[in-house]
Amino acid sequence: MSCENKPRETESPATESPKTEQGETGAEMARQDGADDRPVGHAYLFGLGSPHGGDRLGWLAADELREALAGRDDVSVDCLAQPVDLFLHAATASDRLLLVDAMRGQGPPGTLRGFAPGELPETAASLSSLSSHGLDLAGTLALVDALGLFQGGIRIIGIEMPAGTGPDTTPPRLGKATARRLREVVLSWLDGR
Amino acid sequence: MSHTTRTGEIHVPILARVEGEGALDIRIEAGRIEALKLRIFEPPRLFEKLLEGRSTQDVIDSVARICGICPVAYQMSAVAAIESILGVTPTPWVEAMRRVMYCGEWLQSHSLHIHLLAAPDFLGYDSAPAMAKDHPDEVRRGLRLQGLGNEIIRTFGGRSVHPVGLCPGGFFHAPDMATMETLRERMSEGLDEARELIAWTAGLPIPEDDQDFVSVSLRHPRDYPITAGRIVSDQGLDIDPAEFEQHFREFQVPHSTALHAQLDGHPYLVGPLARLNNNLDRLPADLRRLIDDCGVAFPSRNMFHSIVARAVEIHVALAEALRLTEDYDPTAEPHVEVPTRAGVGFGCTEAPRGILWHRYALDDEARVVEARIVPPTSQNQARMEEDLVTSLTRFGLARDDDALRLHGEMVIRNYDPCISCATHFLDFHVLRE
Repeated sequence: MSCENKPRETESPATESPKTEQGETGAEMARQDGADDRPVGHAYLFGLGSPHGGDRLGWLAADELREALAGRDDVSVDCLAQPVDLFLHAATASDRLLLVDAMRGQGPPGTLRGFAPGELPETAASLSSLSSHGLDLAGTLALVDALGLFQGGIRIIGIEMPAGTGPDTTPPRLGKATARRLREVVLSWLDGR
Repeated sequence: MSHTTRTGEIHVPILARVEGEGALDIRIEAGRIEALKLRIFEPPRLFEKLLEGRSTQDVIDSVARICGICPVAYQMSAVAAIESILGVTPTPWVEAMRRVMYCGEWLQSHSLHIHLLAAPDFLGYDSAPAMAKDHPDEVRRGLRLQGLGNEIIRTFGGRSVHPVGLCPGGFFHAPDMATMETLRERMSEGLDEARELIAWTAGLPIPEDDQDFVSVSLRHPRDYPITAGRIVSDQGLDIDPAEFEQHFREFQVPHSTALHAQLDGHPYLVGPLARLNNNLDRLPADLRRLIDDCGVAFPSRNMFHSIVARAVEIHVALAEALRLTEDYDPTAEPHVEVPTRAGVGFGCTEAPRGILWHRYALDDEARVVEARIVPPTSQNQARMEEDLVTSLTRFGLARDDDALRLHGEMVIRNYDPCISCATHFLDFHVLRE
């Protein structure tokens, strides 16, 4: 089952790079933060976002990865409309968590960047106020930490969305180059390479 | 300086775990609160004006954007008003499934508030993550229930935030049987957790703080009020939603960009405690027994019992959703055709935070000529100020500023206010002279 059935389109080769803007290699981006090098436990891979606008990149990524990881029983892939929905899954302390989300301001469209929970941009962290309107990513990760979940490792991968994405613009798609690079990063992370 | 003659001002610049931007200013003179202002300075959002000229479907989809946690409430009040103008009577299936969808919103909103916003206050933690280290099972329960509420909303609305499944006359689609069976299994598990939750909230160290206030809610001839009913109070008010403007007055105060409201010239309470106080006899007998056994007596005059009322309403929501989907028919026609015509209509439903009243005037093409929306938080603002004066005085004005600030924040959070709905965060300042 896909989060949504939308075609992919070819992406400019200019966005394909062996390294991110920050100079990360795939293995660096996928590193097992907070865990030993050897992966243990079940892996949960969640695309964050919605079916709309630039925000849809997280769901498109989950659809891509679900297909790429079909047949593996050590990983669950899902699309989440809100980070807090990850608690609907029966995660344990030994499990691992990989979140894929759209991002802005980290390079040209299609740029991938890996973050450890503590490396999230300051604006994302400062917006976490545990408000009455739900938990954002940083607030959810604070609860994950307090509950002792996903100690097998947590990684967040951001995909840069095009500038000026809005209701009147064509929704961004996951380009072939970005999709291929994402698969490499995720496989690296899953297999502890 | 003697504490009994203490004079000064307190300003709370930031109130955590409240949605929206505001502040609390208190002036204490000679040991008494001389002035207390719940300052709401978030810019007005002018939503009613944005709706003018819009189609009825645009209204339903647009009002969902007013609030990220109670979009269903906004949609349901709007669609009720619109259907009353268009002369549409939803089918029993549509009425039942709208109630189920609304139960999903109560479930997610109440669960979030109980476990992540209010409970840390009663248990002495400064945040939900801090509480989660010592109470992981309770926090995970809350997150499961909240997620289940989101799932219910998503089932009918396509997504849990700003759902898009509702239309005049019904829904755009009926969920399939497999989806509903899976959802029902999870709702059954949730009902067991709801029973535990009532006992857990009743066992929290809740302050004794009985006050006089007027409880206002909907009342339905048969059911616990959610999607429809007459507007009633525990002081004898019993009116049709169309008569709202004859009894309730909204007005501007200099310190708030959100309107205040009064009932016949006095503050009043809307929300879970008011609903429960007014509708105990609409609860199923087994739930009444469960409440009786937990040791909290309703009707209650203690505003802090709102957390128990929310737990009770989580049970109501899950039991109702299960009852209404027991013989779920996936082949039902999800909506009826609607005509286009002019008129004025009213819709009033019970949002998680209290009654949400809408009034629309439509032209011959069923486009909005005029809209008016009265959200629950603006209705509760005057009551919150009244409560703060009473509660802080009872708590002891001689206490230090930090203690007063924390207690003030707890009083306000207890209402689960959505300042952004009413027009977001609160500043608190005390100045002592």
